[in-house]
Amino acid sequence: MNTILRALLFAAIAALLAVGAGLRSDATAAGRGAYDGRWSVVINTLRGDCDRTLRYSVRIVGGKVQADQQSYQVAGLVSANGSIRVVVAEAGRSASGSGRLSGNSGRGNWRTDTGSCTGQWVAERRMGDY
Amino acid sequence: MTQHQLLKVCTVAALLLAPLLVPASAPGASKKGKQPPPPPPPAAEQKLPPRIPYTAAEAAAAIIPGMPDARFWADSAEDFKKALPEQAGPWLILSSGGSDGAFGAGLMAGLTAAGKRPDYPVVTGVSTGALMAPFVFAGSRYDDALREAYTKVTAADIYEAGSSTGESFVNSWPLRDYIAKEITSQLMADIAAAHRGGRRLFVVTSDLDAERSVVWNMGAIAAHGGEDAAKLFRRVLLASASIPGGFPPVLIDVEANGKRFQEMHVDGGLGGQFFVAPPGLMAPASDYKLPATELYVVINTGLQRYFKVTDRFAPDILTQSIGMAVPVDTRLMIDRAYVVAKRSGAAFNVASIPASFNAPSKGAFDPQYMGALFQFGFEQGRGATPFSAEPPPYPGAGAAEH
Repeated sequence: MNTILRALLFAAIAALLAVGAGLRSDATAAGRGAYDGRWSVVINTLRGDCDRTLRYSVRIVGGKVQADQQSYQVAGLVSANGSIRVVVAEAGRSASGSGRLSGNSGRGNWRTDTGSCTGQWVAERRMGDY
Repeated sequence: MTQHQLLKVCTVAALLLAPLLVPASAPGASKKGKQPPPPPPPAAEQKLPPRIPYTAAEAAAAIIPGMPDARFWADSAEDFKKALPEQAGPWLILSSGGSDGAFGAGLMAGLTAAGKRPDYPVVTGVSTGALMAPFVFAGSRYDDALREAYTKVTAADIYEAGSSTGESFVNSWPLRDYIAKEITSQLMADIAAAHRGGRRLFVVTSDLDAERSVVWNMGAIAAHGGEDAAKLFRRVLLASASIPGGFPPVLIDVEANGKRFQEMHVDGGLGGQFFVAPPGLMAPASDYKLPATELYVVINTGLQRYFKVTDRFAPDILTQSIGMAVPVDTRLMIDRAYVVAKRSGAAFNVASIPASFNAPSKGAFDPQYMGALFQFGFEQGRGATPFSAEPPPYPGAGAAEH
């Protein structure tokens, strides 16, 4: 069960996690600050044996996507026009996502590297306290 | 493993595992020199304000400011008797069970469809039972809202991972906001009217500081009216469904001898998976008779045992432990309720999710799974025998394998 859950959760957060490798460094500079803040991201699985829906919190600081908690690691980049590419790797597996942020919301698609799960994500910027 | 068992396990385990999922092999993690600079401490990890100390005597004397009739200790026989309605009638008891509350919600709608749904003079709810209780209590005109709540809700409407406050593994602000949206002023007004008419709606939370269960007189709270009452009503519901450790506790403002402080409340299931009466009145040695004509107990979970080789991993061990303890506790409580009903001359009725229900589920709060369970409950409620007059058999040697 633990393995299954790890796999499910891994897939679920895949859409959120951006890894520096493969992303152009100028994207960071161009997008810096425009989308900074705390974001809540809902991940929906449209195909595959992953959790139907999950919600995760991430922060964007200086155009970089980071985990809202340090108990798991997130890294990513947002470009000036709000486009975001997402890559994550764990234990030899990876998943990717892409999409766009605009104002205080955003949306995009995600998939595991094997294509076993695909879906969409939507995001909203959270204001104020929880 | 049946799917509702899987869902229960997934729900608990997901809560436990979510923050532990560290992609240690992620490229960003392995290239130390290229990692982004450490972010400022996120709000979620900022230090929480210290609690106001208070004594056991102050805890015993504490009341909700302006609403002294809002609650009583669940172990107080005297207060319980005072809070009961004057007229006897059928009592409805709604148990804990997380997303499996879809069963009870469907059962209620099915009873409505069959014309077998009375206005219960007493409705009690614990955890998910507490969340559905206001709608059930307010009458069948809220069946559509109940159906929506238990067939359209997703995990994203319940919790968010990654933003916990240090008090829990996940943040429950989505559930808080969902409750605020669903508990409308009209619903509050209808509950208040029913309360004034003599009916009673009780919801149970667990006061962690006092290590005692608290019964909230939700109709009395609603009858107070105003924003403070609405806020308290919603916070009590949130507290009753806040699995400690998984979800943050709910702090409730109280006052004792002119001193204001906050109590820490969590899931009502800590004190028992459903509530009929104070433990002293339920005891075999007691001769107390419930002023009920019938007792309807809705168990929003299955009672079967499921075999599983448990991983040597704390979340898995905790999950399996909860999975064992809850059905055991529930089953024993059913027996106690049965004996008390018989002693009281009240007809006993119980409904629980049978092993035959095995719809598939994809993760926690899967609306398709919940929709199937709602429909299952609906058909049972609409059928000839929605309840059993005897407690279900004790699960024994035929544990399911998964």
